[in-house]
Amino acid sequence: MRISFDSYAMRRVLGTVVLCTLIAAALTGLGNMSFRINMVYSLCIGLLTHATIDISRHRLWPQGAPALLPVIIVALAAAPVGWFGGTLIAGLLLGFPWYPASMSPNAILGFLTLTAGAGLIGSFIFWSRERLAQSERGAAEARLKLLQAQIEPHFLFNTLANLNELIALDPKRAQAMLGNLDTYLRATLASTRNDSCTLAEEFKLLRGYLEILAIRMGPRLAYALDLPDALERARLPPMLLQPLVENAIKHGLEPNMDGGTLRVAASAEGKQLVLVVEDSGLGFGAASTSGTGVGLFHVKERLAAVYGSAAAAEIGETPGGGVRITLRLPRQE
Amino acid sequence: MNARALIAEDEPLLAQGLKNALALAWPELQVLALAPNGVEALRLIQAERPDVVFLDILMPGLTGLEVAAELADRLGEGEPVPRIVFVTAYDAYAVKAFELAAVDYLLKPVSAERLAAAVARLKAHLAAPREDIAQLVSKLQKVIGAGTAPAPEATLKIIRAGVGNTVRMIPVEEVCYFQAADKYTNVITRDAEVLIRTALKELLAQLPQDRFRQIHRGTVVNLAEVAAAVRDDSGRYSLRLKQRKEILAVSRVFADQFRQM
Repeated sequence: MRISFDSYAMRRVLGTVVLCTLIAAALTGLGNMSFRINMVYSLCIGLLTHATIDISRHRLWPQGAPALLPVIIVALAAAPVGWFGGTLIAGLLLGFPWYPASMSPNAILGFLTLTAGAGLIGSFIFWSRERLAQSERGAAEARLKLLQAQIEPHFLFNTLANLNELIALDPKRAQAMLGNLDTYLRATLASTRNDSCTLAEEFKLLRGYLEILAIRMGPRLAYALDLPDALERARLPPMLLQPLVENAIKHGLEPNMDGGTLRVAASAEGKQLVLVVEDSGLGFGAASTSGTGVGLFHVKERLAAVYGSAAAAEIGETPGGGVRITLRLPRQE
Repeated sequence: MNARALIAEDEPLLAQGLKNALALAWPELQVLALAPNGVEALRLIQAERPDVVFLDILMPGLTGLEVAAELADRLGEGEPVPRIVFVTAYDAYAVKAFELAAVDYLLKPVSAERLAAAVARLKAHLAAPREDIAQLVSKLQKVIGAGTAPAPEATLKIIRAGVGNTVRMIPVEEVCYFQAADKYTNVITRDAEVLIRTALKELLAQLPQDRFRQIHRGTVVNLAEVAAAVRDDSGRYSLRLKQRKEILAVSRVFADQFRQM
């Protein structure tokens, strides 16, 4: 088992220490022992209870808190472990005999109740915070997915206008274009429901999208999709590359009078999957349509939401002055 | 005489499609040329003097709106102004404005009925006396910037310009004017010129509005550095600066701010 000792874990321990201090102060006010002795007992019991609860939770549900009831049961079960164990450790530290041996059952029950109460309060606070954080993460992920799935109205209506012409001019090509639009729209819809797709699926969507644009832009657009067979089954969040390709077209190639070339390539570097989207267009910030970097920002946010620090996005320039975006993420099959 | 038209549209199928549709809706109309981008459109309009121009909004080179504004600058006072119809696939905010600036505007895909209505409007306009430049300019003024209200961004105070290995810090108030230079912007101060890698349009949104004004598609001036605005016989304005010798041309659509009080 691995317990990562991050700042969140530190804050929780701090919370327990504060709770122990309050209890020690209250006991000092009521009883005859010094604050120092009460504090040692309180800390030993509190921290042992805290550790018992934490370890049980990591063992039982490593993915995070489930419903409230199991959390309550664990907190109640941890109380005797914490109290009997804690009094033993504190006694050893201070050179006192083990208290419970000389206490009345009623007193033991009273202290156990106090320990259980404190454990319940602490558990409940952390459980509710975790739930909140979880729902916020989920909401952010859902919002990003929806944003990704938004279809540019310009794209849709210009494509329909082209279809309108092709139906009369060249019904066969019109059908092919409709097929590509179908592929693109289906993949867009699916991306709001699925958490991941294969690279082969993502490239199929890109091909559909670029085929449409190749008809629309005519000889101004050339494109290359480079997916090695070995990476076809690699998994990634759906519609991760599409917004980058859309940006390259919208800000790099479409506003360029001579058009240009777009290349999407996948490769593997060790355990990493490397995805490159590059264009020979106008370059970053040059087009009158120049974006605010929102598209790239969303891709970065998505990578962070799914992979944390294991993924990275980097923006650079091609030798010809176009834009190159490189994504690195863990290779998963 | 039959009316003559020019179609500016970057997507080849749509350009040809509009031409075919016009052949049915207005058989007498003579389509002179199809322009694949804004720069070519501007050149052809000046060379061929069409009566009617169909301008796609989102085109490479110059947008349809920029073509119209540029045209207003290049035409002389008494020269005929073509009737403009804007064509666009989707513009959530600007569509209303296009209606103000042109004889008509069309949404893609263009239906036969809608095109017939536009043709009727154009015919009525062609029968009426021609518009002059002033009318075109006043219409365009309502549109330029209408759909692209800059978001309130953090106001820029210092321009960081790379010169060799050093980065020069130039307070914006020391800048006389900014000039668009391809994908960069030229920053001109009293005694220096440096290139920065930010597009003028992006820069404009971050500059203090009360001090910096756009006076041309490619020029933004520091109002505090302007000595005088001079109007020539054809009604065009140009600016004399306090600390620089060069004269800056003012586009007609941006000229209103320099008229006397």
